[in-house]
Amino acid sequence: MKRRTFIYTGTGIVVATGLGVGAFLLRNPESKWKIQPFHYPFILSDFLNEEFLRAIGNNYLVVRPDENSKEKLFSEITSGLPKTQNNTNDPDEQAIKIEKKVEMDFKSERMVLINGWVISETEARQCALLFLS
Amino acid sequence: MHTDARNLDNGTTLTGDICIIGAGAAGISIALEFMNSNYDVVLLEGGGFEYEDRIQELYDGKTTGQPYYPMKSSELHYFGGTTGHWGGMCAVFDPITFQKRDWVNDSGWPINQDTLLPYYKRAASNVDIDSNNFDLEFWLKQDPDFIPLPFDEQVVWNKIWKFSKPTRFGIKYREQIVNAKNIHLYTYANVVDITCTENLQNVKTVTIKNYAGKTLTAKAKYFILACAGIQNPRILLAANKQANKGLGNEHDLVGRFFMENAEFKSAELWLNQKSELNLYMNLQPRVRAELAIMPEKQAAFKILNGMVSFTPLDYAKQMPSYIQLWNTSDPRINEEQTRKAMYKTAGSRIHRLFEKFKSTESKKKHQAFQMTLRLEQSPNPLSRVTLGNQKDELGVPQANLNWAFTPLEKKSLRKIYEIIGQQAGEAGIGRVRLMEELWDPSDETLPVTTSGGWHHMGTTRMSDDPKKGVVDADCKLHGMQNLFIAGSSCFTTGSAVNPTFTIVALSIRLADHVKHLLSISNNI
Repeated sequence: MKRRTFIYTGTGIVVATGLGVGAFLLRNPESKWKIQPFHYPFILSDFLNEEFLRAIGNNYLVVRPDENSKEKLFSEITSGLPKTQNNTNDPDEQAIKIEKKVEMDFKSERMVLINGWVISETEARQCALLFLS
Repeated sequence: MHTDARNLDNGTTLTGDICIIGAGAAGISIALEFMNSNYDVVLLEGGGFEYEDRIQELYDGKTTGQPYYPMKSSELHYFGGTTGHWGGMCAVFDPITFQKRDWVNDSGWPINQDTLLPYYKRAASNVDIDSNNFDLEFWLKQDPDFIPLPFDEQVVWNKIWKFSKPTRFGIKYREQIVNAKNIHLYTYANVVDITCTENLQNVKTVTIKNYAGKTLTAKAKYFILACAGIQNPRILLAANKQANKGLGNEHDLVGRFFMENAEFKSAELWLNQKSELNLYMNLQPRVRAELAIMPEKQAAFKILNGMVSFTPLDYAKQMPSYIQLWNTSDPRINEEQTRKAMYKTAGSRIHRLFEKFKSTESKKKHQAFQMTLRLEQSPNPLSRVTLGNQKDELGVPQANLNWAFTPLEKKSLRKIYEIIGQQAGEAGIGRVRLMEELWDPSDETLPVTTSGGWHHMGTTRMSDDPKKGVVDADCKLHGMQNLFIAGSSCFTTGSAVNPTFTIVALSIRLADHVKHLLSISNNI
């Protein structure tokens, strides 16, 4: 069973792209991640308010003190992301690419357990960047 | 036929071709297989047809180790046995359950799933499940709302469960058993001792007592002990007049390897799109799926088998764990407490169906679900039933239980939730949150809410090797010719699957075997 089937049936809404983009289009346009896609994890922001996200970021830096700088975290988050189409800084497009990277993290088992949440390393770094901002 | 053994003359001897000790799921299933045959069956039940507290008192004992339920209320002591509080969940044991796994000590049955499949088919009618189709694809075609979670099929699979009404064997089969001409049911007939031939190779008689002060004996060609996972080893250990360590206990195995289906409510699944998760809910047509880990992944991670069910978090938060609910020694109170808790959280089934009908689409869907993990327990010789110093009113030493785990359970518990967390992340459908008791990977203690299902397994385990098991592949006590054990005490490993359906299947198989032996001896 492909994930698209699950989501389509669950929502009754058909979108032309994969889950990440499909769910992305359904989201509240006022969400903070839409303005700051590097600071707000796309899916985690659905369940956790900013205080919790910052707490995750803080705890990530406790176990990974070598990443305790905005520059280092930004570098890690953007590492490996494909170049933006037409070289724009469209936050929607950036968020989609980060989400793809998050999914790849899970696929490659690049995960961390912080405050009980099984999250990807990229998400943890986003939280840490938010904490430092 | 039925006789109340309290009304028999003291010293009466009961005779039959076979003597079945215990009239629960196993004993009744075996008796049904002999119904209308040419063989006379003596079926002994310690209690009557209804619950009686003084009879139930005979099952009292002490517990140590991981907190467990009061012994008195853990198994039911009347006709129908523990099916009197059975939940009705039916599924077949997975092939991996039977296999020798190098990362699970003392694993490996002398039989495999193929051995039991034909008996599962026959067992289905005993427990009133309308078909025995446990195939996911079949059920997906039955209901378009059955949508599996979009996980990697190489990692996670969907285990299908079917739900019995649940069948109360004591109610459903009472008339059939009582009216059967070749089955003689004796109620208030508690077996308190077993007498063997001098060479200890055959049972000669069993001694029966009751509160009326009567002592009786039963004689048969074959005896089948079917008193469930705590009482089976208790009776064998207490039969120590001729064998010092108890019957069948030359290698100190009787009572050891006690296993449960350990239940943990230690993680949550949060979805980024609300869902009903219909396939995973216990709704009509009385079928549901649970998430299980593929055998290859179990081997790769060296973990136990486990299955995860889902409950909307807003309901689950209000529902205490079983270890909190079933905390009294009166099974009637435990049942009432459970009913009240379920009413308080999800409401009655009718109420839920009504709510489902009237509620809006958005109300039926949930964002967060509690994930309950039912975990196979690793066979552990220190987890065991022993005889206590205190005796019951009929003079039999009480059974004490030490429920003990190994580090493998905690490792498996954490890993299974992590695997589902990884799958949820990869699929992009949500995230998994582990409860605090799982945060420290070096912590091997189990959560205080760790529960069991009153599933008592492994205490007369099956093995071809008498040094590793109490019974052989035919459930015959090693070293003896005419004593068999029925029920979950024969399980070598506990599986992550509730035992009743397999108890019935294994009992039907045992009935076939004993019939075969009787036919041979008759021909001779």
